[in-house]
Amino acid sequence: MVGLVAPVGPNSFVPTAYRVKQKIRESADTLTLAIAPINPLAAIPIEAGLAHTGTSTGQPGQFNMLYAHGVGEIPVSISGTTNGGLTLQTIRAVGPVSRALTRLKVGGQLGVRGPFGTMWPIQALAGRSLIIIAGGIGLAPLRPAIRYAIAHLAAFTSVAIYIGARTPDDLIFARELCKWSLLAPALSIKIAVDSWQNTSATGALLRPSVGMVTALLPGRLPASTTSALVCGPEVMMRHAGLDLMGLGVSADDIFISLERNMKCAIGLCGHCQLSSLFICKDGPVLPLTRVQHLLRTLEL
Amino acid sequence: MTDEDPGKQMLPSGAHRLSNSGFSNLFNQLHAAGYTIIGPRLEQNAIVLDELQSAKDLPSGWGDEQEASTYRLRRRADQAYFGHNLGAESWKKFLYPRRQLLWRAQQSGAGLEFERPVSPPQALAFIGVRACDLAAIKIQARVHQGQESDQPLNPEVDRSVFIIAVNCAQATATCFCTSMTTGPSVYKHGYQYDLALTEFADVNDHHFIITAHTARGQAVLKQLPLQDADESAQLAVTRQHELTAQSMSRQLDLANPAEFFKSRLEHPAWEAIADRCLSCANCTMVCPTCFCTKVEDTTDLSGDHAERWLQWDSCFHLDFSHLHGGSVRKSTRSRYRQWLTHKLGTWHEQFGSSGCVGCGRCIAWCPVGIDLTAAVTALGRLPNNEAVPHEPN
Amino acid sequence: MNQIEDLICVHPFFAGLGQEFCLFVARCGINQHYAGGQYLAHEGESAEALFLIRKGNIAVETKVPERGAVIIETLNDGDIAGWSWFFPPYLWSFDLHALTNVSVIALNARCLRDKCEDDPRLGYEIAKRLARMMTERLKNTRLRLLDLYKAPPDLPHRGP
Repeated sequence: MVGLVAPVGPNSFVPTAYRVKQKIRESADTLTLAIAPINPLAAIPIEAGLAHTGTSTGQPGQFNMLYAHGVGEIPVSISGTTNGGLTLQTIRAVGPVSRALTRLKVGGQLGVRGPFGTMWPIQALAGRSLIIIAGGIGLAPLRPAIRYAIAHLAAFTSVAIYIGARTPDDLIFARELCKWSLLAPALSIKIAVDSWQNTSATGALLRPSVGMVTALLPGRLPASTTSALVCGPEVMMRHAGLDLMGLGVSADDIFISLERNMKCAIGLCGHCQLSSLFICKDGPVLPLTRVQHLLRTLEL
Repeated sequence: MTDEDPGKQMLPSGAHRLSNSGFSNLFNQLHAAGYTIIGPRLEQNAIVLDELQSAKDLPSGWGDEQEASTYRLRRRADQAYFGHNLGAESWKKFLYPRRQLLWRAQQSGAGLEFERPVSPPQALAFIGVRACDLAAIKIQARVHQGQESDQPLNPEVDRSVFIIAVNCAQATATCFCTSMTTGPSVYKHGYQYDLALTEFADVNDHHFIITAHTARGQAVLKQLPLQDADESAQLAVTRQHELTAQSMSRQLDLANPAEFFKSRLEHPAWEAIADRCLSCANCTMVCPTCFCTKVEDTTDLSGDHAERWLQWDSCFHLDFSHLHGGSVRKSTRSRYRQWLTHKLGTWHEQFGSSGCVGCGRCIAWCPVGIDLTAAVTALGRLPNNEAVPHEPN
Repeated sequence: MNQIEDLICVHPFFAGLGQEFCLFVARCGINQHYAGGQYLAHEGESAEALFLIRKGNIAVETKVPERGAVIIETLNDGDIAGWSWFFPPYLWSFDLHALTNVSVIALNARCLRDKCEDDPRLGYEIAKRLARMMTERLKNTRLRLLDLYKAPPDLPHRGP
């Protein structure tokens, strides 16, 4: 069983100032900010012993706390990094802070604390048959893991990606999905939408199926050598887990990413607890074995 | 007292006897050493923790009566300084203050700048820390520092807090530290403090037995007018401890805390408690180990200056678990369950001990008198409220 | 005929059925090919076949005023299309529309129903497989009905 430990990094209460370098619209309510620290070399001088550099770009699965000046702070998954040192944060505008962040202009500034949390154990899965299931905005925290898998395709026995979304227009990273589909058959990628709305050309281009994303899973797979990374709405992750286990995959080999209310992101404020787990530091990536019974109890 | 069992000897070696006036001198010594002294005082019909200028500020001659949703002061026949038990406040008020400025942010032409305010560390002395509160201080330090550190206190305050522990000469009805093996003796559980006192307050004779446990504690002790403590002191301290321990009627029966709650998450007893709970959050405010905080982001009218304040929070608040379009724990039932299963159960997995020290504050200060020891008993019964059949050995 | 029974035996719907049954069922089947855009079935018409999809994508579709032909579900390699053939009045509920070139084994409905009546063991095997497929589709439909990807309502509250 692969163990997950959040890497020790610069954790403090004080954000570092970052600038928005690029904005990429992904869908009607989601966009990606490409951000970089304003001063990558200077540590912000605060009390001795608490100097914070905030320059680490984060591993697949991790998140940053993004602060919109005067509005508030929310956890946002790191959806990629660039060679130029930019961090990509994909944000769905659903509340006051996320809306304020998505309204930042290029050149605008925000505060960043992080990176925090456990990682997709993608490097430890070399040699395995890798399955990645992403639902909706869940594709964002999985993208760094997918990019890693694509850069190291030969290291895996096989890589199969399943992506679910509400409608073709709600698919994020659409251009990148097209590029990934060109990697067949080395990389298998299948897309399903809950319902088909004949609107966008990109949607049609990607030729998604209509149906549940988990219905795309094969009828058989090499269960003992398969590992899965799953991210999306909790109900979807629960059922993806059930379907994978129905095919013989062990719950130890299925990793999901959970969300809870986060304030400090370092296991001190208590908000993100799920039973004995602090989702900010024992997660957000967790093996299904540790959480599946918890997810079935309402209001835990 | 004829028991010669060495385990029964409460008092460590090096004890001295301190008179009442000598005790008053302790305050002078601490002030001379630059400490601000915090201890119990009487304010508005309750014992609170606040700054003390001298021994006169202590609530001498006052005791209390506590029960579920009941707190009452009563006059004692003697002038004991520590003849009361715990008030609503605990030492977390000073170690992890209710409201702290985390940072200031400024938005200007130059951009966004963050600065953390630096404040000079305060030299505090806590006087009158009971065993259960020593346990709570240790637990909160563990929460805040993680496994890497063995330090007993918050590092920002650690170097300066001077602790004077006090053995409880009486228990009240809400106490159950014996069940939680956290007290009543400050000598038994590996706690860290500088000085320890055991008070003996008769109408005719008021004195203390005092011990020092650190170099700086020893340094203060040496300045006081001391007398030798003889064999009778050992007997007196031991006897006081036993009387206090034996007077505790409340018990928490929880043999296997981590497992106990896992199989009872949907037990009907939760509903019965939820019916009464107001989710007022009193229990979390008075609990000496509760550590949850929230942050408040504020700006001035111009929007250029922002501040982030760290504040105490409670898992009983509806928006504590807010996510997306609602809260994970909407019902009062789920929030009470979260608090209890965390305090008594999952805390073990997180921090290696129970989160409860048996201080009983939550029982006294709950406006509807919810008693967590009774809650555990109810959960221990079968779902139809029958007692679990007793297994023959 | 040999070819058909082999194709039937390897199709996931009939996995584990046994050579004897595959041969028995093969007598009802023919190999068919449809070009992308062609219809295999129309709503309301007599459901004459169970389609075993060997290769290709078929949309289960319905015509909705002002929305046009709406795809309800996409069926892929290894799926089956059609259960209306099994239950009276044996009429298609939806359209089946080939999205790509499609190769199917079409099993004649009346032939298959008669064989199931003649041999209850075969009938039971087919009923089990149909039931399983239907519960899977129903489960997935229910999950889709939850509309899990929808943006959450913006409720007033204190905090982000």
